Amino acid sequence: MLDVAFKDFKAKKSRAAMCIVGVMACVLLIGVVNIVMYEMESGLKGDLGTVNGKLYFEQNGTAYPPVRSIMNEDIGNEVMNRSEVDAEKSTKALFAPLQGDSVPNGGNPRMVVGLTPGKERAFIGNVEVDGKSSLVGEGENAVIMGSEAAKDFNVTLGDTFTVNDNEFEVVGIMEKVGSGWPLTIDNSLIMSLPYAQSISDRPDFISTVIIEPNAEYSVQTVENNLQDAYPKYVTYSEKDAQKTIDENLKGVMVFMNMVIAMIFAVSMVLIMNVMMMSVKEKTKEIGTMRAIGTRKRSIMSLIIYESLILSSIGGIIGILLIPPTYNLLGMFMGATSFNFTIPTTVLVQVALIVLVIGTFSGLLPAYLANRISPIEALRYE
Amino acid sequence: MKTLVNGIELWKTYDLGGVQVNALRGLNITVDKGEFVSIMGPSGSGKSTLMNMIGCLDSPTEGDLFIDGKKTSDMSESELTKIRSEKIGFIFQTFNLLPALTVRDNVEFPLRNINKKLSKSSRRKVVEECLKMVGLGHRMDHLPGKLSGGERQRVAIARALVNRPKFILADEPTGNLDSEATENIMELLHHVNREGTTVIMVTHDKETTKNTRILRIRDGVIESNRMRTDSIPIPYPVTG
Ligand SMILES: Nc1ncnc2c1ncn2[C@@H]1O[C@H](COP(=O)(O)OP(=O)(O)O)[C@@H](O)[C@H]1O
Ligand SMILES: [Mg+2]
Repeated sequence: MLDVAFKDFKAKKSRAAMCIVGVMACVLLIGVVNIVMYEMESGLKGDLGTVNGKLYFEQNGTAYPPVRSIMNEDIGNEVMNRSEVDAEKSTKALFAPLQGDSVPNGGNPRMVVGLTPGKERAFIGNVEVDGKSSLVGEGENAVIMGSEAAKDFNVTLGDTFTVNDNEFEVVGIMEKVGSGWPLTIDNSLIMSLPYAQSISDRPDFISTVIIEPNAEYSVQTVENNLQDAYPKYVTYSEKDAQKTIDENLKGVMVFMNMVIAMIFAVSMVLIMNVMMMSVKEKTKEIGTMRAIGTRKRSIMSLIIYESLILSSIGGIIGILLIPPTYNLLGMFMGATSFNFTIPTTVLVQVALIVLVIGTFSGLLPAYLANRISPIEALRYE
Repeated sequence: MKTLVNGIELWKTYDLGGVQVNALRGLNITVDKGEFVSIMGPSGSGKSTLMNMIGCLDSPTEGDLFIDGKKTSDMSESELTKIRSEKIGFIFQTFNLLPALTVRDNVEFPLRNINKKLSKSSRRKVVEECLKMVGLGHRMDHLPGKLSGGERQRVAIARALVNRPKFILADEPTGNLDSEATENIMELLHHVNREGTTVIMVTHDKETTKNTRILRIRDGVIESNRMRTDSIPIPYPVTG
């Protein structure tokens, strides 16, 4: 019956087209919404993954990146000297968004990250670096660029460039960390703490101490000890990172899922409606088929096949249109790279949705088709 | 001769909101293998009701009906569907072809309904034979919408024959045709009948009852039953 369903579908082109466009739009919407959610989650997770196993000693509430936190460098030195802190792997750090006329437009905010030379790994972890991964022995204006930042400033290894009358020399470029949206690390310009302080006009100030606990201390113990010693300061750790993810995503996820459910229902009703119309229109044909000995089961599969064909074609076109649409969306939002592919999980989800829409929206029309009495249908001229 | 249709004391009662309408009132009918039967009678006399019953689309309220030796009057819906697909060919006044399918696919359609699994090539062969027999070998890949009424009815006859049914049921097959097409279709039906297929036809047109057994129905019973013999008709020309 699949072949008959396909011919029926071809015979009613305009109605089929309407239905296909509807499903296509729905799939496109669901797909893009899904990818936005996926990217948000993986983006946040990637960003906050930098925090894993570490502690950020901050002021003014907990956040990542700690751009709103500011403290005197002396406090930082004090913290660094505590017994819980592995001084080799920890560092004072200054996070400051790079602003000014000579910063390239669009994209994400570039982040100046000042670190004590030799302690870069406290921030960049195991990320691979093209060129130097350490600022030790380099000039005071040496920077290790995040992949996106390097792209935005259009610089390669060994280049020098000037922002707000400050000159930088690129000694290293990090590989891209974020899979979709660029992360803080991808947008960062890592430089020596003194240079960061001078170009940000924050001499003797830092944002945070990135703490790697000494082997005999757990993150939790260090957190408790620091809290007791510095009641006015806060610490930001993995569990806060998880909380940040949850808080950031929860509301959005609920909303997005509602949107998806709504789009889902709309496309289901759309196909169902078209199929009911089709069944009503084909009353006489279905009656004829039944009269000449076609079984109810076959009539049912005919209708379900037809609705599956409609939803699949709409679905496939919709899926094909997801990447360009998403890229276009990204362009409006200032993204610079367009090599986007649909994550497999999203693809599977959308394909499943198309299948469910096709099958379920065919069920009621198929039931109606099965109730057609051949005698009544043939009487009705 | 073998009896193909045997209806005994057939009643059909419709309940129209408390009012009982008797479409058939104890009607008896027998049709033997190889016969050509014309059923005539005024509108509302029960012709279609009887045809639906013989066609296994409907069951009698009372009475027994045997089709090809099998008692169909108390069969289930799916058993009746099976009988329809295997033993009966249907021809309708309004042709009732499937508009999205080509002539070839329309004729092939009933082959889907039977369990017998034919290879693609033998299905094709059977379909082409039937279409050549009705003289439409050159129209096989047309859609029904492109054909004249007479041609459509010939496609319907090919479709009715493709499963090699025991008999053909035709409810006013020429009701929507002009006189030339009517003559053509009648010649074709007689040809099919001479080849061995029993034909039972409802008609209003006396011209179409030549050389058939005529059953007259009035008020749900058979009023008269006579053989009409005319001059030997011209054999149907086999073309295509
Ligand atoms: N489904 C039905 N419900 C009620 N009455 C019906 C139904 N079908 C047929 N009848 C009645 O049964 C009688 C016989 O109808 P029918 O067999 O269609 O007559 P014919 O085909 O000879 O014109 C008519 O009075 C008709 O109104
Ligand atoms: Mg009638």
